[in-house]
Amino acid sequence: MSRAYRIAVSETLRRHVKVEDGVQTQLELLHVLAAERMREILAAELAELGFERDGQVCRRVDEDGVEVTVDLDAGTVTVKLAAEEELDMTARESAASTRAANPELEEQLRQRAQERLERRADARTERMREEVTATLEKKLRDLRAELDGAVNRATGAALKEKAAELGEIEEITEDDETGSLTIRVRV
Amino acid sequence: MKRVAASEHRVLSVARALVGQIGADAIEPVLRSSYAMPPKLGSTAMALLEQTLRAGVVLALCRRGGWRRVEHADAEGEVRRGRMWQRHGPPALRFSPMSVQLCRWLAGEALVTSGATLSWRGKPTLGDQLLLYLACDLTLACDVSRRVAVSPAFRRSPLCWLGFPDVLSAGEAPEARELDASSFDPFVAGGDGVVVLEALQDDLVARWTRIERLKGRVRKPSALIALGESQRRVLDLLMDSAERYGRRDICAFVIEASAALMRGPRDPAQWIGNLTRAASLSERQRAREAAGALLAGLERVSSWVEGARGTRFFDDDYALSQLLLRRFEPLGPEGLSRARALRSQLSALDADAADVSAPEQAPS
Repeated sequence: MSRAYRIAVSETLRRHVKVEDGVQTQLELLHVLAAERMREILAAELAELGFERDGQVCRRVDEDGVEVTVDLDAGTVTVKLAAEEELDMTARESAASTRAANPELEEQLRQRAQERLERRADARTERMREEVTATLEKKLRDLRAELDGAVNRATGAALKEKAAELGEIEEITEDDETGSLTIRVRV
Repeated sequence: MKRVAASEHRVLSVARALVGQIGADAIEPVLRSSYAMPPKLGSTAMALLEQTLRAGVVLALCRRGGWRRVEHADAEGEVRRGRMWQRHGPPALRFSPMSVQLCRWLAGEALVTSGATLSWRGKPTLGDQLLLYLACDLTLACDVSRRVAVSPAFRRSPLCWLGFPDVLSAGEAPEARELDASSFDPFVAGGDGVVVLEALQDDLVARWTRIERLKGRVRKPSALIALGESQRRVLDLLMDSAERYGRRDICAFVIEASAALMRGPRDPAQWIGNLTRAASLSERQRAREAAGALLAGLERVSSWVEGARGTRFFDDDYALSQLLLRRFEPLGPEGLSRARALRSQLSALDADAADVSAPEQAPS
């Protein structure tokens, strides 16, 4: 009677995984003044919101790791988030064999284990990506309101400057609720 | 009474369906089933096929818009009003063996289950291109267009890309070898090509309007991205040719399609409401931008219209400019403003913000 042997293999996967997600859109900034002046005014408003300027780019990284970048030249805002993880996974496969040494079976088992590891790694990577996406999704509405506010204030400041160039400002009325701005100028 | 073999009868039935003599319902069983084709058609069948194509394709062109009294520019930049055959002589549509091969392929392959595609080495004639266009329409109506999307003969046809970017992009967006900078020149530069494109304007309005209205059903971002990229490439190349040959009026279908869309509901959900939220934000954003491909094309046309407003009565292109302004009237500044607002909504930063009150819709 032949003896039954059990062939068992163990495979390991170690990998550094990085996932990233983000969106980019255009800021709708009216060019009330010259483009360069509008950029400066906007940069000042963004600084109030915690953005740090580096040349023509203003950047802020929030507590949750979300990075918001405003390119003053291109007029774009980019929001992105990345996540990294060191994967360290092990998979075991075993099967019965009539021989104590069975290299073909061992190779098959190793391949199966590797495939299982790859699937698990892909699944983990996708879950990380989904978490990154979910974090960004929750943030977008508030971020838009924040940036819209900065753009509106920058536009208001530019209008006041423009009005001062045209003549003597007699009265400025601002309605914070509606966002309207009325400037009376004596020309 | 002329007699043909059963296989030849299938080929002739397909040809009649292509030119609209038989309805799509009647020919659909033929397109869905396979049939062994003999090496070539007999002389009787060939003569009948020639007769069907010669008369039928021109009639189809007339029915699809050539009958209408419309204004178009001519080669000298003057504007002529009339039906297709009043503005031009009858188009000389020649059909090469490719047209015969097309009809045989449609009649012989079971288009849903077969893996066969249609290829052709030579350069298709204008008649061939028109027949390919009609074949896209027929296979779409019968819901058997999947093989068309991956067939080189269709994918190398600029007319098919122009009329059916939704069908062909199901394969993928056009590559440079399929559509290049000069692809639309034969349909814009003059001659019979421009006669065909003028006659198809109504068709193009209907097609592009329908494509936009169906975008709201698309679930996969990759599908919407491929469609939008295809539309952008087609419009960019067509408009480049139109500028090169002074025939901007040939792109008026973009204005008319946009006008029809801006008259109806303009909720971004009509374009992207069924996109799965399982995809990444970056992919969804690409899909949202792709959804606005027609509106992006409209921006370029509107820049032509702006330029036309400044044309003086003694300028060479005054007549063409006035034509463009007349064509812009159905959309108007208000419609353009609505289109821009919609595009802005599609690309807004918070367009994909989390919304717990909006569950994913099942595809219809």
